[in-house]
Amino acid sequence: MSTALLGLSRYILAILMAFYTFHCFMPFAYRSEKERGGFYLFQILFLMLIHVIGITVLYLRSGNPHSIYYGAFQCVLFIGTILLYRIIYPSSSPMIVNNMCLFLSVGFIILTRLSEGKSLRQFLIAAVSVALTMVVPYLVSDLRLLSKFTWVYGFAGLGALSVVLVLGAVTYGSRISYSVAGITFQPSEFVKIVFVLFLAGILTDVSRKRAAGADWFIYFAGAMALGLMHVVVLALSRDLGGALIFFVIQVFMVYAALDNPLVLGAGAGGLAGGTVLGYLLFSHVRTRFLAWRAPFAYIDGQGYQITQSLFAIGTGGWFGMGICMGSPDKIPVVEQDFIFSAVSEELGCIFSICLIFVCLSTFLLFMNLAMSMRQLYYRLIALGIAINYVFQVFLTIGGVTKFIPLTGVTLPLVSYGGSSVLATLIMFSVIQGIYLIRAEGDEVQQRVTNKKTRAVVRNA
Amino acid sequence: MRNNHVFYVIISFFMALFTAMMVYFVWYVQFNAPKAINSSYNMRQNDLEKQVIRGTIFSAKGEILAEEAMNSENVEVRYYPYKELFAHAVGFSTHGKSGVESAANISLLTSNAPLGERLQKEMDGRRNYGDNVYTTYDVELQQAAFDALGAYKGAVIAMEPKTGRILAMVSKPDFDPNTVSENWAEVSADSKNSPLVNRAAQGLYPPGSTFKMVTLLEYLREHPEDYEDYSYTCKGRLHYDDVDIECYHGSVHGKENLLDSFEKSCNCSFANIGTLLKIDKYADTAEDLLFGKTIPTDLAYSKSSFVLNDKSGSEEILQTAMGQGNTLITPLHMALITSAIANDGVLMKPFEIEKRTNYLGVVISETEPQKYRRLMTQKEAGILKDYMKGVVENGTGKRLRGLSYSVAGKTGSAEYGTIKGNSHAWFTGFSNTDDPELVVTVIMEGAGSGGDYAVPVAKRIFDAYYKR
Repeated sequence: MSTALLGLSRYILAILMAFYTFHCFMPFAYRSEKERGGFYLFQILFLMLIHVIGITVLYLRSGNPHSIYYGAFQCVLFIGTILLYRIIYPSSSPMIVNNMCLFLSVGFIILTRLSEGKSLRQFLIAAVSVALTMVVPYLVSDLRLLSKFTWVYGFAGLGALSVVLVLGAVTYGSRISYSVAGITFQPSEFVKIVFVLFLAGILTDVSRKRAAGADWFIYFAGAMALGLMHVVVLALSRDLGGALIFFVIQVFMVYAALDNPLVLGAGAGGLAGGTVLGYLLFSHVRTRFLAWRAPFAYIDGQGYQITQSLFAIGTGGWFGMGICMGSPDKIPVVEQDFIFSAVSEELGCIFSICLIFVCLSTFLLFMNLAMSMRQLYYRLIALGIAINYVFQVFLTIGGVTKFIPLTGVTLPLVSYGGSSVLATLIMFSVIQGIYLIRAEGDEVQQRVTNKKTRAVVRNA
Repeated sequence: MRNNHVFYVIISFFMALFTAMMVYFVWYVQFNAPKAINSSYNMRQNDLEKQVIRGTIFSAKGEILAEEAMNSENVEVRYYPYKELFAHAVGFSTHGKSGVESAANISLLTSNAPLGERLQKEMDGRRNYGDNVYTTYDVELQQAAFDALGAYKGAVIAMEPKTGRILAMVSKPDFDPNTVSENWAEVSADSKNSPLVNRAAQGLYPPGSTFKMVTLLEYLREHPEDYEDYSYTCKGRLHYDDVDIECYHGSVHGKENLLDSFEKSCNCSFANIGTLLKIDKYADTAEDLLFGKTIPTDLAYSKSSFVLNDKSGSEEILQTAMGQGNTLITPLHMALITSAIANDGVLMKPFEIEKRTNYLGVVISETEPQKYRRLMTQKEAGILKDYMKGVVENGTGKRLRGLSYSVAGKTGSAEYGTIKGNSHAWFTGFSNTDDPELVVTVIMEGAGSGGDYAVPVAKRIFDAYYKR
């Protein structure tokens, strides 16, 4: 029985993942949450099956009993998270919670396989983060203080990034983190969130001023300059992926607020100019570019990581080598930037393509939420978080598959890394907070229409 | 203020980006990965071996060249029934990988057995059968080449000029691939004989007089109309710019035209031609013939080199023109140039892997003969062919005259080291000159003159080919 499970596990996991993914898109075809409810339940079923089978196979192959305990606690975490959201925030998005758990699940399986210690740390960080961020939707929806500190966000974010630039430790050629009491922080992960809040606040003000016919341009230009300074500081810290993400967030948020295609043109021009400038100024940019153009020519040096990643993906093929049957540990920093290659190698490319689709469905949910909000401020926050999320996914997966040059960013919630997990969970829960606001709005709307109908009925 | 079209623009943008990325990703996994992962840097090949029983390697006619077998202690081992015969051609997979074992590694470790059977085996926790690989190698021809080379160090390549199929590839000294892993320390430390080196593709030798084919081609290119007017009187010795050139064994060839010079392989006349050539054009021609370039093969090979440039001195130019100097070439490269001449100037991509089947024999993929590139015009190839016929009819290749098949070729006696008179024997040529069928290239280290030593070896291979 267990040999049969082991033999077939990679097919079973791929099929379960495909089912899960299918249920990510089906709800888009239905309008009412009631009709969608069934899909969410199936998702939970598939999610739990994937995790239980994955951990069982891991245990059978590695013979390490710890993996069973880890797996059990991880399942408790998923069920707890799903239930708590249901109970505390009935109008939050169940699919976002499910996807959140799925990303964590895939990450846990691969991390437990790669390194017991990292898996344990990741679990603790995730558990604490889920608990902490449980209050975020409430804070966002009920206090509505967010928009009061717009400029503070801008300056605080820039300040934090600058501190890192000056003090930060050098990790992998980029100064992007510093340690407090043994815990390494990567502030740019958190600054992203306040950066989105900053831009949303500014752009809401700008649009209000424009509507009122007031002078808005100086205000706008000053804020934009402050925004771009984030990008410059990140570039100077050699955090290319970070700089790119901040820039893209800014371009798309401004475009959405001003509704002017020129913004996209300027963004494309800025991106091209910045890339050329970076290429000319920084040797590590040239190295990355070289390793992208001809990785096999530099297989012993700059191209080592990416070629190992391509070997991992290619050798794994459509169904993967099976958990514990590949050599993902041959890729340097596999737990962080190259987690997608490890997933592809052992769980297979069908599984990892499904994972991309789940990421896309998450992005579509965020965008859907943004479009359904009436207040520009919340529309922009949801948009900013959506762009941040989807572009980061694109950078990491595009990088490790050699579609684009490597920028060294993590796959949100799947990759190992405390700052990344906590920051992503905060963003997901801000989105949930906006869901609550939408639900309240709908309720208010509902009450108003009800009153009107009653009035009409009485008059009739 | 609910204007959603900007959101749709943004969604479309990212959907396009991800679609492009996923198409690329699927393309890589399906089409590019099988080749990319067949790299010696990919340590994951060992992971595949745990799930798949390495496939069998066959000759063109179906003889087993390498297979998995049980030894006397019931341990699975790689078994090479022909032992030393295919040491370099088929290679080994027991201590690193070489030859076909390396080139077809991923195919041998991938199972295309029927799906149901594969699933059943995976469920039972048993390994599946890897795919089989049919090579282009011909056991009889390989044996003939192996025997003909005898105890000499050197290499032989036999290939079809019209398809690029390599029918035989021998390198000596050799080793037994069955025991190479056990004897690794000894075999790999033998720097005097370097038995692990596949001299056919990796051995770099001075081309000797075979290089006169290149010099001749360059002269033809510079004198397309009046090359037949060339005339030179050989006195056995040439003195030019303080450089002294001698003909092989001090022969005196007397008055000769271009054809005579080539047939007799007259060093003085070719050194003289060297003084007449435009060096940059000469270098271009060498480059056209793939000197210093990559060669289209999946064998491990060395790059040949041609080093003349505008700054080269007279000595180097004269020596190079007659085939000495600092020029270096591999026997494989020599065979490719000869193939191009035989095939009207067009080089076919050489290959040694004919097809891949699953373990039941169902064909998974086949190699189609493929044109690589034209190395010279049809007219140039025609003239070179005629001159090479002349070598056999009237010159240094006379031992191949008057046989049941016709041969055209060029001999070479490449001097090496500092002791005068030590030379490697070369022959490169092709049979059935009207419709070339087989190219044979022979190098024998330190044997002596090409005409006396390499030509008889080539003859035994041609004989074997036409006796089949």
